[in-house]
Amino acid sequence: MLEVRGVSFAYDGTEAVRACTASFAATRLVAITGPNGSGKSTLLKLIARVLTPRTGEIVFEGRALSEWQAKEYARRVGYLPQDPDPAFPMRAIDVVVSGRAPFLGRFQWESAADYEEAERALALCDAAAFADRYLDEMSGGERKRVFLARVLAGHPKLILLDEPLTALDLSHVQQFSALLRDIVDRTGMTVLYATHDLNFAAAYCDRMLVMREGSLALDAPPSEVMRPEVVRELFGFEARSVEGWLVPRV
Amino acid sequence: MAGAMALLTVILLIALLMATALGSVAVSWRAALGGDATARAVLFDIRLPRALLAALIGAALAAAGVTFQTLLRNPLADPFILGVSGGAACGAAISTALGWARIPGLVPIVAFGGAIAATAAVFVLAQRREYTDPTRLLLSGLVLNALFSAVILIAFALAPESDLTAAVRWMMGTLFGATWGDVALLAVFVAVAMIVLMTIANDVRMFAFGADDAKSRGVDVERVQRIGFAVSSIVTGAAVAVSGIIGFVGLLVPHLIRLIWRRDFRVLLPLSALGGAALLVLADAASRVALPSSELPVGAFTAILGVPFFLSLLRRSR
Amino acid sequence: MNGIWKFIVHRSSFIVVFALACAKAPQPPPVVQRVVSLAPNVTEIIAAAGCRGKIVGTDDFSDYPEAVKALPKVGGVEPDVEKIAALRPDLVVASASNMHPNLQRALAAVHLPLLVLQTDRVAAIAPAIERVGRALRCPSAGFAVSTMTSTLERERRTRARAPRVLFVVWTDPLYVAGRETFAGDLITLTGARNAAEAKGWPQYPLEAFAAHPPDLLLYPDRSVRSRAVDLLLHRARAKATAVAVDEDIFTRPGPRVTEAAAELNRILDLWERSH
Repeated sequence: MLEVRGVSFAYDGTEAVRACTASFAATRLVAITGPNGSGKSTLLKLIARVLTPRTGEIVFEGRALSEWQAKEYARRVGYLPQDPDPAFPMRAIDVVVSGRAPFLGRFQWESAADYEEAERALALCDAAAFADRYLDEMSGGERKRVFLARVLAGHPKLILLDEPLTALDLSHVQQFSALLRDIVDRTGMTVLYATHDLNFAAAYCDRMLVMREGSLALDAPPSEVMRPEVVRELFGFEARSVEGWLVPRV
Repeated sequence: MAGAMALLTVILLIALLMATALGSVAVSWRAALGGDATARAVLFDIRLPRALLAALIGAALAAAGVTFQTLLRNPLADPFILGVSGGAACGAAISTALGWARIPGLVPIVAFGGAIAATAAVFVLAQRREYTDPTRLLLSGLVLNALFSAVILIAFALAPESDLTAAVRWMMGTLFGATWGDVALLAVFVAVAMIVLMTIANDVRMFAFGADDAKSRGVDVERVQRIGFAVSSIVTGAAVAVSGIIGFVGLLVPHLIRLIWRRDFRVLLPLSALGGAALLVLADAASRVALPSSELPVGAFTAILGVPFFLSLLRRSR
Repeated sequence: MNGIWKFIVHRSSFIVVFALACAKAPQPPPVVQRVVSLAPNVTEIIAAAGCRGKIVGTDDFSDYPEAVKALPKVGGVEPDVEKIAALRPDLVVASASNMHPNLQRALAAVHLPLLVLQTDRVAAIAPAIERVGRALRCPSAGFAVSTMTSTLERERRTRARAPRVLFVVWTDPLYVAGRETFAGDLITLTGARNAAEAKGWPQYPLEAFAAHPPDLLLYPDRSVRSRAVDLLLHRARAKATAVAVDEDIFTRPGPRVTEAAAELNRILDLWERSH
């Protein structure tokens, strides 16, 4: 469904992503891991069409990204940046329904159908209860769920989440990861998300990508990634495997 | 939303009515319509164009303000933030220092030119290879405004003394001598600006979530930013050229509207324009009648009228 | 340092500072030979008192009598104190109306005495000439005052149909000379009525101008252009006789006030004859 071919990008001269190649099928939950600055966010932005690759190309559903019309692409691919925050106070339902924007014409307003989709998305994310509440009245976990609902409001085929689990407490991390798994299984969409947490990613994902200094160092199922020697080389810390979980070696 | 627009339109009409009824001279509509030349002159040639001009300027400033606040995701943005006021004031100050203020109509043209040049400079300074960095935009605007303030002070020090008072009054905002020509000219600017902004409104509101987010949703971020900033700066420049620098309206009317109605940019834009128009019409009327047979700067009254209302809303909200 | 020394130093420094604070402003010598004038009307006042020869320097704008044009210039609103000091004057004379607030201190720092004259009204001119006469020991001060006063009295008029006059100093926005100003005094003296009721230099409402236009509109010929006045009259749809007057004599409170009064009477007489 999605193919990344030899893509690279540099920010004002500093290389962020180097010749990345990977391909993704439908109905997959894929975690992109790696230390800070390894290019995870940049890769997601390249796929989301926020940035344009300097070399290489990205092909989605058989067509190069440059051939997709912006709104058309936005209808099928959803992106959630790090730390989303609307600059002005908004209700959850309004935040989510704004995710329907790629479906609206220039002068169109959201219809009742759009609001229904928004409510459905909120329900999918187990956030229907606070549809009418303002974002600043919610906890971090609740807010993340609202933003996830926003990304889902358009029934995308692929969603890209940039570090959605960072700064959530553990119970919410588990909840959210389970939610993502559930959505992938139920709707058949593919979810690519950047994360620092190896264990929860391994527990739920179909595949893990490890990035290091802009290159894709490893692209494999969790069982192959979650090994002490791999972790030592790619992440730089000593760990041992305890019942399938990686635990720091103390 | 329709209800809100109707309400604000009614308020604006009442304000216009009040503004034409108030003044230092007592005239009646009946006398004016009946053929009394003086009453006619006062009502139709002095008060009415002035009230309409106030409405247009208020609308322009508030619309530009809400656009900047949304595009820059900054609730403290006002329409002068990208160097417009500094550039316009600089143009006015320099032309005053050169004695051009004695030539009717020259200073506004130079002021407008200054406003546009300043905005263009700010934009060029903030360009990076890939995109226009909003932080750099804000910083460049700030820095240029500081530079302009310095130039203005020097220009005023060198200006002929007799011309100074008028120049200072311009910097505080004045609608003195508004003509139907001014009204027509500004009406064109405001109409074009409002139409263009309404056309990109659907995209502008997406900026509230960040430029990256908007881009991922299919918004042509660069284009919308460029159009939004350009149109807002031009209409602000036109308003400033006509009436000098009137503060408060552009910054706080959008907040006032947001506190009451809490909707996104597509709704806020027309409501802010109506609200800004009404506020400035009332402030200008107040500035004319506060002291007998004298006028005070209108910028003082936009604050005097608006601030208490704003504070009371703030206290009542969460 | 020893405790007692500390105490002495501390106390004496306090006394020194206190003494400096009480220091008097520099006083002029008994006979003043060299004078610097910091305003055009002050220059004219000094010249009228008979001491033109003692003036060694003036501000940038002094130009009457003719001879002072050749004198060294020391600046405008913020005069160059170094230049003033270089002229080694015994006294510096300024006008209260456009004096910089720090001028006294700046001059005191270079030990230059300052004389400040109040010259904002017609009635203040004679006392100003007398003060200058005393300070500079001018021979003809008394004579100048009596001549000026009697000429001025001759120009005093009462008119049966006093025309309404507006002295316009700026057209956009409209600033006028109100009551209790030099121009306002001239208007009252010559028997006309000042259309502006407020005191000082108010901004006059356009609609008041339109509804009750003045009979005569006077404006200083350098600062205000006739085109601007025409535009103002056009905007207000008003008819008024607009007359440009010599800016130097109508805005400088000085001995030439007699010329201003005579000129104004001439204008008013002309107006009366045609109405």
